[in-house]
Amino acid sequence: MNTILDIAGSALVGGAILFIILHLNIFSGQQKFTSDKELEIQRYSKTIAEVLDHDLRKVGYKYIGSNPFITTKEKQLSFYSDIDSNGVMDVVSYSLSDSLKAYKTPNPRDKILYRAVNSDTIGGPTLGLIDLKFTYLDNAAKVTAVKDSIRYIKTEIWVQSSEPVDTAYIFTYWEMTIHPRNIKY
Amino acid sequence: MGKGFLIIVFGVAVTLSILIMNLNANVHQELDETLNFFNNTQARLISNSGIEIYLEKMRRDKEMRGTFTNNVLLQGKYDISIYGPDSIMNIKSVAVYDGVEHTSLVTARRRPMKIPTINSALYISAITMSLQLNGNVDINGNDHNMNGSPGAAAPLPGIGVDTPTDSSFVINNVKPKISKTIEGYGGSPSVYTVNNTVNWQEMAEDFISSADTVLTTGTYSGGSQFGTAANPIITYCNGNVDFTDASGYGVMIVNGNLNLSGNFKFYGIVIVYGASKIRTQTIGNNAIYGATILVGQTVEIESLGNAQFYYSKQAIDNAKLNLKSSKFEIMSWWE
Repeated sequence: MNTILDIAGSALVGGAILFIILHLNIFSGQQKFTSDKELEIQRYSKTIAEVLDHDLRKVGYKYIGSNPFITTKEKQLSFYSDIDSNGVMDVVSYSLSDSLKAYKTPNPRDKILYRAVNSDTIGGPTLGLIDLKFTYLDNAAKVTAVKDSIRYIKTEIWVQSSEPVDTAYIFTYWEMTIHPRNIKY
Repeated sequence: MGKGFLIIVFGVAVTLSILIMNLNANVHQELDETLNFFNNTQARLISNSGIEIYLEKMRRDKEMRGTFTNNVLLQGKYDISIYGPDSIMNIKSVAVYDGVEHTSLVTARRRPMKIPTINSALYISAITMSLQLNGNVDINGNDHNMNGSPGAAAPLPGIGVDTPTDSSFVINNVKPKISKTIEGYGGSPSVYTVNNTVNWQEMAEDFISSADTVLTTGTYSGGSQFGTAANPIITYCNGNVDFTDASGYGVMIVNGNLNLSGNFKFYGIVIVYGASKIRTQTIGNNAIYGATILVGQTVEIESLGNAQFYYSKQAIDNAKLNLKSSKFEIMSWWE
């Protein structure tokens, strides 16, 4: 009888310990995954920000016309700039794809940011980008639709993880307002 | 049994340690990403600020060129290189912040000095005018070269004023002997209403901000030289000045009273504004070749002895061609 009780007790304790170990394993896995996804979206947003920051600060660089802006829409921007500083004027364009183009990731909302220099279009990975918005401001920092009065470009990006954490996609938001120094007054 | 428990506890401890290390590694990487972006931003700000700082220095030192290294700013450093002529200067700034480097490159040109349109040899704009022209005064709107020989430009009025009332005042208040020596467009006395559209205060302030030499109240005597024919300058007199046996080329701005006491020769434009009083005295000859502009609430002109106010397109063009502004036009900025 005592032996049976010992065995039963041991089995119970052993089972509990195994249960705890399994849960610990699952928990650590989940934590690691969440942490990895947070790092991923931070890196994605930083990469997109760096690309946009590099290009938008050069709007109108060495352009001798009166207005370097070609297209100024919420999801689309194109402008003149000698972006590679080789003495030849380029046309730099940004546009956002629809979510169907980014079909290789589980996230149904992510899109591709297209960056084109002249006729070369670079698509590339989505980097978790789910939305992008350009807002054009005049010298009083008020929204304007008149290209000649644009002095600032405000860019907002929304980035989500490529895979859900639990059942939700974690996301980050990032914005910057740039005053391109080459826009002539 | 006890050993089994020890093994289990040890295993759990190892698992937890690995988890914590992995999470810490991610946290460190996230921090590195943030710091990297911050460092890049700081390096860019330092680089751009360096250019702004040196543009301000170049405003005061119009001949500044060369390489200036190890400038400290915002806990970082930057090196500046300035090269090229005034018509197309290149300014390169390389900044380093916490090991991150950023280069900004600016192309700029120095703006030419804006010279006002000259409508007469002597222009007077005042609410209250007082003329005491005695001695040998020669106001001549016919063009003269700087060596005194006749120039080729069309003649201008000897004296230009703003209104017909002012014109009548001048004609009625100069002595007949002096009246004959006011020459120029239309014959003697060449006194006409001119169409002035210049904001003289703005114009004077523009010159003042680009002044090469600033004089305070005082007497500037024999040997004082304010610019040369090859290198005319902008001279700003902030106060009452008295020139005796001095000479200059370019533009002279006087905010106060101007006394010319013998052997003063200036080739260019003299602008006296504010509470203006211009007076020449008897000893020797005083001459201004170019144009003289007197603007203020009250303008008094006293002349004793020999005074010459000659229109000279050559002197004005020399100033226009060679004077250096302290303002820059940024043509391109790579950041």
